[in-house]
Amino acid sequence: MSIQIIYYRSQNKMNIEFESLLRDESFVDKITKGGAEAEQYVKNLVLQYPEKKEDILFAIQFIKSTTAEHRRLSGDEASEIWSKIRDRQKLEKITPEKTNRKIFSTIWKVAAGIVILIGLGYYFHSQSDLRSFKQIVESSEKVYEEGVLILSDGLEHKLQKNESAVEYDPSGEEIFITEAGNTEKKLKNPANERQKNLNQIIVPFGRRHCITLCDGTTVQLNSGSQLIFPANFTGNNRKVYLKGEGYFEVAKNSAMPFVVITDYLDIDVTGTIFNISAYEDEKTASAVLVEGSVNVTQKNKLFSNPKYTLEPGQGYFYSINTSKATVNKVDIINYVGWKDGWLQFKDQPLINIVRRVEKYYNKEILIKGEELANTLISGKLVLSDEFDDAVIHLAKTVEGHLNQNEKQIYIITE
Amino acid sequence: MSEPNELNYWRKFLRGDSEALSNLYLLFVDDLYSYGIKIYHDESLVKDSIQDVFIGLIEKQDKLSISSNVKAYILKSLRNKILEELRTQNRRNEIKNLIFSSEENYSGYADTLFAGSEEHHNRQAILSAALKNLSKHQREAIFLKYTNNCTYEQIAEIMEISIPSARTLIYRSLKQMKQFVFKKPDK
Repeated sequence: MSIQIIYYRSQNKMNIEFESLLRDESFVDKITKGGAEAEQYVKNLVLQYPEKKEDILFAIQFIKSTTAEHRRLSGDEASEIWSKIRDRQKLEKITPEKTNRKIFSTIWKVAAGIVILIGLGYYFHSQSDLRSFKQIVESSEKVYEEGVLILSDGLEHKLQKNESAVEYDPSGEEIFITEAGNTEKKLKNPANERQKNLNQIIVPFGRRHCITLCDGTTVQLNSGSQLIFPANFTGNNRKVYLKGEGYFEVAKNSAMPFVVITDYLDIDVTGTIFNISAYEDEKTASAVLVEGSVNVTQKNKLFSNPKYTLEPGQGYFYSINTSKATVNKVDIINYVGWKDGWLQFKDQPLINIVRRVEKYYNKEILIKGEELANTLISGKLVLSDEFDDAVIHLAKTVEGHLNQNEKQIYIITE
Repeated sequence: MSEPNELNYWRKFLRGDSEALSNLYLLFVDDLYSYGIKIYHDESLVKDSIQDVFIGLIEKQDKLSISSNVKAYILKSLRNKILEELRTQNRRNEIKNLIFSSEENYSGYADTLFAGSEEHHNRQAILSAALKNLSKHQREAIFLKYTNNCTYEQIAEIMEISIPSARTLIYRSLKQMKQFVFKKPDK
């Protein structure tokens, strides 16, 4: 994607003056976001306009220093100010009433105060969990071609084959990697850092991997996903962070609930089977329950984080744009088929299926004509290792034709 | 950052949904704090003023209108609150001196992009000097645009100028900085 933008830019002459770069919103955005993509973009820009190197570097430094001026209040400070605002709000509502109510109103204020503190406590607590996981996510913006397991010492171990399985032993010390069904590789987690440090598994697009955590919980990870987890669970609960999609079979342990933290939802369970989808670039985050029971909590709210207990066969869909959640009865097979290497659809419009395939291979597919895009499809699509095979198969299913445009993007037509 | 969200919360708040206010608070508290500290460098005064802004919103809940520019309205309220506070504390002359005064250095930030080199340090010093060379008005506009990510429309509303003036203000400030940065050394 980034490369396309660069080419596009180079064809349309860009004005590379200090002040024009800073008035170019897309330039400012790109630098603000930072990361490997921005770095590459800057390098190319300097190569292309060597005489404007100083303008470019000054503009970048300007953006970096002005954005660094944006301060963040700590969670404690923010909640302290907020609780004062809240107290005053209660006061506003109580003062018009008569004096003989005074005692009651005082009690009411105190009670409200407690509720608020508990509410805020949960919010800031859960945000701080998310923050510490996010630090790891942000520190590793590398794009991987192959699956990677990163241990407590930060060393990366490649998972060479698709569908390789990783298994932690109960102590979290030893790790077994099974590739292509037989070859066993044994890794050791560094002993002294094992308790503190988090491990992670990164699954690139077009791949799937399965991991068994030290408590026996297995997670099948879909293409383009990342799971961060401690090698060894300590404390009151088992917390992991997920970006992307995972099918969880949680080992029962009612003393230590299992919590999946995502950017928008937290899912907590004691022992159960469910699917979570929390891709960064999608508009909906969802949890679908297969077996057992889970609680889903929305986390962007300061008060009363809405919690919902799902029943088997239900799906919880959270819209990131509107911050609204809906719960529906769903056909589980539509949501979990990917873990077995195929996608099953029941009366789904073609466009939805194309979206899933695009997501799986991280490639773009176009559909010509709205009517075709909305054609309802039922059936099974096998997710082969090759993107081209999958697209050909998909086009056949809808009895359509397949073309490629000048950018080599597949177009499905009637 | 997404516009529809803040408008959504704002509408809900005006309709009496008190939870929406907490969403607005979360959305803007860091912007408010950053801006406040630039206006007057006194943490507790800024925090009290943030508190007053939101209490003001609650008090006026039924009198407020649906404004399309919630962020500008809230930032502007903070600006007024801080000035008001300084006025009642009889620190009138401080107002003149301290709003976006040139004391702050745009100094430290950690970043992998070319950070740590000597050139990097030199550039930073030149940029700091170039910013100091701007007027308070210009510095405020630059802050709103690049630190608080405001649109020209929002800058115009906060600083009580027209939208074209806001654009010109930013453009002139950048041009002036550029001249400062690339000026030929004196003979």
